[in-house]
Amino acid sequence: LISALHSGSVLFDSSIFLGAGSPLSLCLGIDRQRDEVAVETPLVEIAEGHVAPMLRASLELNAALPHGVRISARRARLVLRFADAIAMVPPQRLLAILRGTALLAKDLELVFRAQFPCRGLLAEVVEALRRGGVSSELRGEVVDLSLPSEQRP
Amino acid sequence: VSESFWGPILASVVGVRAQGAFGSGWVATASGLVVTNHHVVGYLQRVGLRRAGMPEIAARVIYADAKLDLAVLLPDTPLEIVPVPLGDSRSVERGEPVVAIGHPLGFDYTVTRGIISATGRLQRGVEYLQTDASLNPGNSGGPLIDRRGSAIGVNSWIRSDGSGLGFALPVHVFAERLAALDAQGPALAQAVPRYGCAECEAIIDPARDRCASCGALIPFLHRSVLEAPERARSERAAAALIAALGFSPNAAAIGDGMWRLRTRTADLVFEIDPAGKAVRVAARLVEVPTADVEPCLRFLASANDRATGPARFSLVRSVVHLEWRDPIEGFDVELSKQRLLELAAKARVFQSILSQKFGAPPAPIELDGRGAR
Repeated sequence: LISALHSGSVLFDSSIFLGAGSPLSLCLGIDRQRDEVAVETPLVEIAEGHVAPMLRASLELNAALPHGVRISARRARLVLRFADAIAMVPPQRLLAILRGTALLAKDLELVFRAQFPCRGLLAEVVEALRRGGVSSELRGEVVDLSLPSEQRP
Repeated sequence: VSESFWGPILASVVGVRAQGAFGSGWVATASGLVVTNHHVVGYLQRVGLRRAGMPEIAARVIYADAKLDLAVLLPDTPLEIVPVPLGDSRSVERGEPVVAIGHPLGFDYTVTRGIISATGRLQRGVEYLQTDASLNPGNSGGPLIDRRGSAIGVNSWIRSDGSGLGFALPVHVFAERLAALDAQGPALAQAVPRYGCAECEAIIDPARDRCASCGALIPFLHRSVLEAPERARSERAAAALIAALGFSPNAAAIGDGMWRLRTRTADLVFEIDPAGKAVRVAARLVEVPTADVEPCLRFLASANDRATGPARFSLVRSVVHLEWRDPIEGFDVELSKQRLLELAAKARVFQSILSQKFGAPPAPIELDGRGAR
């Protein structure tokens, strides 16, 4: 799984759960050392010659995004990311964040691709994950993705 | 002209605080009805009224007319102010001296003088008085006063491509409607608000999307009516958070659903999101530099990648914000306060980094509710 993730675009090297469905991948990482729950998906590659406009657009879009989610830059990619302390993310909230991030990612990828000559990454990452033997649908079942009970606040 | 002339007139002028906007208004009837512009209050049901040295009071919008750009407000608490007498705007002549009173760009009780430049100017079928008295954003809804101290118009709009081209809705255009509202007496407090169509003279039915008479769309009316309860919840949450920080929500208000605090460490803006389901809290840091901007943007976007927690960097009109959105569902004032204090401390650090490392200039100080974004 970790190998598949690294061959894609992602993201974490500790506890990982993943939902992948066409054309979307979401990565959920729970990093106990950093006391962090993170939900991420790569969006687009930052186009050469359009770096400043794309970074600026990402920051402007952040002002309108829902709670805790932000577009961030990681090397040559824009990533949609949520990260908060483990105690702050009870299971129901986590599920809402996973659903919200999934919906937002599709829209934001389209927004960037419409405005800039950039490559979208959602479908590509799903493909890379499938090649790596990872293929699962995110069905919104809270059970598989919830925190262990001792972590609940 | 002496203070005894201006005193009662100024006392009748109020500030009108509505969603994301701040305008002027004035008491126009003995029963205390306040006249302002429709574009100040939109289709909101309730707004705030401010007077010098007095706590803000709430008022209900009882009439909103998009075509005339006119709104009439009924204060929850009687203002007990002598109204500005209504003048004879029909007999006004070109060249007569006039003054405009209002709160342009937050400069309250500003009086500017001029003359009637022309009468009977038509804009979309509505008659206006033209004046060269200086009018600016925030003057909207304030009175245009003649030399007898009577209101002859409602300062409504200016031509932005010109200079000294201001326009006021003459009193005679709306006096009858105002009198009809006033005639309802105490029953007005329970009456359903009435809305004028934006395109014709008809009164529209709030339950419909279009005017039954001319078919024009009725924008935003339903939305604002439906959102009111959620907005009210969000406003209470924001006010509780501001109070928990030791500030007065009333003193900090800069627009409907918008507050601003300047603490020792941060310049903070609180804002109810458009859906009314969250409070956006933002520390304004610096302006993005105009030269060599990419390293600064890269720094901010990369910092968003490293951070844990709801705070994130964003850009609003070239001003860097460190912000988060506090959802009303599960709102916890103590937790929000703790996070806000962390945000304020972090804001100071990043403000210093951004100025020193990237030469980012300080964020501009803006005076009106809309500008504070």
